[in-house]
Amino acid sequence: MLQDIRSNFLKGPLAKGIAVVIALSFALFGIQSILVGGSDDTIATVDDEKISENTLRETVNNRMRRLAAMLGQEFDPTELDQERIKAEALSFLISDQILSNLISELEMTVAESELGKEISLMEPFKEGGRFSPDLYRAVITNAGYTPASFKAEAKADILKRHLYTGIIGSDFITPLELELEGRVSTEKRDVRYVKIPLSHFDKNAVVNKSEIEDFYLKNQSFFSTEEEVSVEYIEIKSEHFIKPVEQQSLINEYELVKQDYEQPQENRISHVLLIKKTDESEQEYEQRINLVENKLSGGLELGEAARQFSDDTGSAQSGGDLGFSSGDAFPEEMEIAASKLAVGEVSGRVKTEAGIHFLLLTDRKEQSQANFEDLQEQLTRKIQERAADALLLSLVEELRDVAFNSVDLNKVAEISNRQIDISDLFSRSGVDEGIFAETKIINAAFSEEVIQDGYNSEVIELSPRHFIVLRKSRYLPSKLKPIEEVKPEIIQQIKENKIKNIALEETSRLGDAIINGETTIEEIALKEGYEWQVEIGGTRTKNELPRELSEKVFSLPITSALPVTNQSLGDSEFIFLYELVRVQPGGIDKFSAQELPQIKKQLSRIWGDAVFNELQKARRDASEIEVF
Amino acid sequence: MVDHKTEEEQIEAVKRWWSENGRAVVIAVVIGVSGSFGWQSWKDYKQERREQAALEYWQFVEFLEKDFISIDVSRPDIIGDKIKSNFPKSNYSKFTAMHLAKIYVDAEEFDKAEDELRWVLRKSGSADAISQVASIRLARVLAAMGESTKAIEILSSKQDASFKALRATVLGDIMWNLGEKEAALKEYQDARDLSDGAFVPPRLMEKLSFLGASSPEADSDLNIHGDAENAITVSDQSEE
Repeated sequence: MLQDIRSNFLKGPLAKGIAVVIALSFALFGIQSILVGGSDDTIATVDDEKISENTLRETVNNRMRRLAAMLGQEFDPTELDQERIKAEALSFLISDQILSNLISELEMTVAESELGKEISLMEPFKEGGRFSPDLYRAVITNAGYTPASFKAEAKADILKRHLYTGIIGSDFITPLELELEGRVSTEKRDVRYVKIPLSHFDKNAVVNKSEIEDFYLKNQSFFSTEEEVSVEYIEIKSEHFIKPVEQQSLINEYELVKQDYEQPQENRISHVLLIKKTDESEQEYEQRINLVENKLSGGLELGEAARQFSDDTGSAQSGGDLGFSSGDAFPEEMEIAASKLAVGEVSGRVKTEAGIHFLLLTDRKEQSQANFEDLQEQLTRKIQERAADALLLSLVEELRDVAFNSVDLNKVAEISNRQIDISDLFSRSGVDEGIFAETKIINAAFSEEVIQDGYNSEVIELSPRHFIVLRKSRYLPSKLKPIEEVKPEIIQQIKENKIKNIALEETSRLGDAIINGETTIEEIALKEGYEWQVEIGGTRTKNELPRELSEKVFSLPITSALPVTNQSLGDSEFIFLYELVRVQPGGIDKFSAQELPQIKKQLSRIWGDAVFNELQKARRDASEIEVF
Repeated sequence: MVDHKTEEEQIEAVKRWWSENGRAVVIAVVIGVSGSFGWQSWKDYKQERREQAALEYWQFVEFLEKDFISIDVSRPDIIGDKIKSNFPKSNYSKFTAMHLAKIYVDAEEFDKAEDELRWVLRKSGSADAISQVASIRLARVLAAMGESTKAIEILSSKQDASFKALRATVLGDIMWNLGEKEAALKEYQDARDLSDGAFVPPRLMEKLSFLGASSPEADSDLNIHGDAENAITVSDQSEE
């Protein structure tokens, strides 16, 4: 029977269909797509493109390094808000991924040869004005790149430049827009103003009793206490389940991990490099090599020889020092030669692609084994934590049911073998630190189930090693504070408002007086000792007025003959009384011939940036972004 | 069920199957292998073309930056058109056309700028990122040509949510230019409300201030804890 199925199956049209599918799948996707699987440390996806934990870590590290470089000695990693840096880095990576997705959707690319050219032109890889492969390798390795990852990043940068140029660089400004720009940005306004302290008006601000009562009644929500709760709770941490470790499992663990702790041998070398110059004959080159060889064997220190003779100008200054290598930083020939030297010994000729080297081994860190005693403490902790985590995990599963089904916390305490604690009263804004500063806990404590129904909360996970269950102990609802308690506050508030109103009224009257020619800004200022200023020819885009005043002055519609006066409350301390003396209309003709090209360029750029910004926003809205 | 057939019978069955299907299997393998080569080399070819388009585009951009004097539009014209005809489907050609449009706008040859932008739109789907950029630019060019009605039509026809703040800004510019300050102010205010804090369309705040709108924060000089009834609202009284 089976046989029949098999032979029928292989004969039928289905068989042919499958053969075609297999053939096609190899043709379309190549064999690698079937063989290569993905590792999974994804922390976010943007339209199915993954951002890995590793990338995030590198980005965070880069940012930290940049901060360290910027702050210098003030840099203190412990003071940094790691979470914030991480969140910012992730948000940056997501934006970046959105752009990358757009770039690949637009089928943008760059030729391998162009990429190589671009990299070879980068300043940091140049030595004596020319690209140095050795320097390139050293610099990128030092910055934590492999050649492949560096190239990928350089490619991404180039493609972004293509996109910026295509979108931003192709934007323009039309004559119509330039006309409006002229009207808006070249209009000039002359203003005189005086800055009057609000305290000047407070003698007239009297608050009576009925006003206070009225205010109190109408602002009850503001004069109420916050609701507060205190909870019974059980805190369960992984560390509560730490148990002693048996010697045998420690030994087993050590056997498993010991090679992770081995350090390879590291050699620090200095070198003299002799490169054959283009205009140099083989003989001349050989002579140069001989000269150095003789000097070295004649006792000249290699450091000195490097300074005098080395063609590796980068290292020559520092006596030829190239730093440590664990066997992969330098060309293979050098690594092999270095490994054969004793510290202080100078090598004979070593030939690499670059030329002839003489090496001096200046320091060596021997290969180090991890010994059991050193690791014991660390491994013990690791095993203990692993066991405790596992225990906690199964316990929490059980507690979820128990907490849900019981009317108090006793059973939870019994099973987890932990005691019930009682918190102080706290409000929805929480306390400054500790578990009752955590939003998750506060939300649970003020949830309907806990406050109104009096149930246990669910088992709240603060971290995979830290869980809390809580229930209400005492609840103080919000209540209105007695009027006596809040009276000073109310008086203060009413008074401030009155002062502002009086200030506006009085300055308005002063403004009238100025228009009627009875007084001037200067006179008012001098009489009372206020600060006064004149601004002549200020524009919307450029003026010396205080910001809050500038906004008012330039948005004041001109509906009547000048001068006009007006007043504007500044910050909480001052009121400005100002007199708009003159308005010179703006226009495109106000731009000078010299500045016009510059203005056009600048505005084109502003339009381009705006378009690009909108484009990014649109793409972000349309993308499916998931953060795990 | 147990298999009763003898070994010989089985071999016979395999042979029979092969004689019936052998051809199909061989053909499938041949198609698969040659298809694989075909597909790969076609992919390589496509990749090469893309790289070439990118290369020529970038050379064009470098040419514009270094050698180009804005009065002489003939030369970038020739280079740009060559890219567009060589790589009609590449997005690099669309970038090129948009650069050409910019050159024509600068030279005030708006009908040519219009042609370039319409070319971009013809080559793209309507929801395409580049076409959205090009359609806003087309509206701006039309407005500059005095074709306000057409421009407004383009700006209003798109239903999608993106680029709204910028569209409203361009509409405001058009209205203002037509002398309709009230309508312009309304568009600019819409633009302000539509743009999130991080990004504001070009010169929007200055235009708003010119047309007499103070910013929303500036309107709230006086504020009492949430209770509007009790708040003493004060606005500047203009003295005349």
